[in-house]
Amino acid sequence: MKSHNFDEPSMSASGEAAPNADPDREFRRDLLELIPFLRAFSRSLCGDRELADDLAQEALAKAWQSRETFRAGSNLKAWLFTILRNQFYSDRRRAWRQAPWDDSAAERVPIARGEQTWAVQLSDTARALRGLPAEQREALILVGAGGFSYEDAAKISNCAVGTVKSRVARARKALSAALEGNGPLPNEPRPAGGDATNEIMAQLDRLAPLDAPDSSTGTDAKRDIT
Amino acid sequence: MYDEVVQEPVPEDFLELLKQIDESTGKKDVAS
Repeated sequence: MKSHNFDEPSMSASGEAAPNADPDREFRRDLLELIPFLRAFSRSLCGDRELADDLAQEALAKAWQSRETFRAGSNLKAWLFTILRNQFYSDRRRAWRQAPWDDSAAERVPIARGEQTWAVQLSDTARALRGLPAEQREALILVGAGGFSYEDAAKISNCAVGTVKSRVARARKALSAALEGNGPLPNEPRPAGGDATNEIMAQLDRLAPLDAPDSSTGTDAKRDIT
Repeated sequence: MYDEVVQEPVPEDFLELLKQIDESTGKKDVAS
């Protein structure tokens, strides 16, 4: 898997890998490699498999159409995630205009059995994640599972680094409490959890010990990595 | 959840989308 970092210019995306390299071809190849991660991030936002894949495909198409605006040397994965995230919230705002949206109320709506079969497959971790506020879940996925630095996650989420750190810290505490049986889990079937939990927690351990002070600044900084 | 999805095979729909992109935007062959 090709690595894309802010500090390490993408040879293929910049077209510098070889004099005769086709930038479109290289860009397409990089997009292809990132599809699994894009799908995963989309699923973490949407929950629903089909909706998530629709959203990921939409983001993929937009990324291709906007490839000329991609800044060579920047983080393609972060750029792609930003496109998807913007599309997700744009869709949600559109839905809000059609009907009032209450996130907390939506979390409490029981899921009809058979209506969303994907829910049956949710592990304890996934169920606990779904119980988190959307912004905390997003921060946890980006940093804990997606492998983004706090700085990159802040750019994707269009907020301050301190805000991401604060969200991750709160999410981690809530997730730990839920998985230890001290917090609420959405009322769904409970297949066994496992490696995903350990992986997320290990990643967070490396980045931010649970007892680390809350470094949230509380201020959002507008950034545009596109 | 995230890692599990990452490990899933990419659905055909995505590859089909890339083919459509190729056909609609490029006259050249960018298939890998």
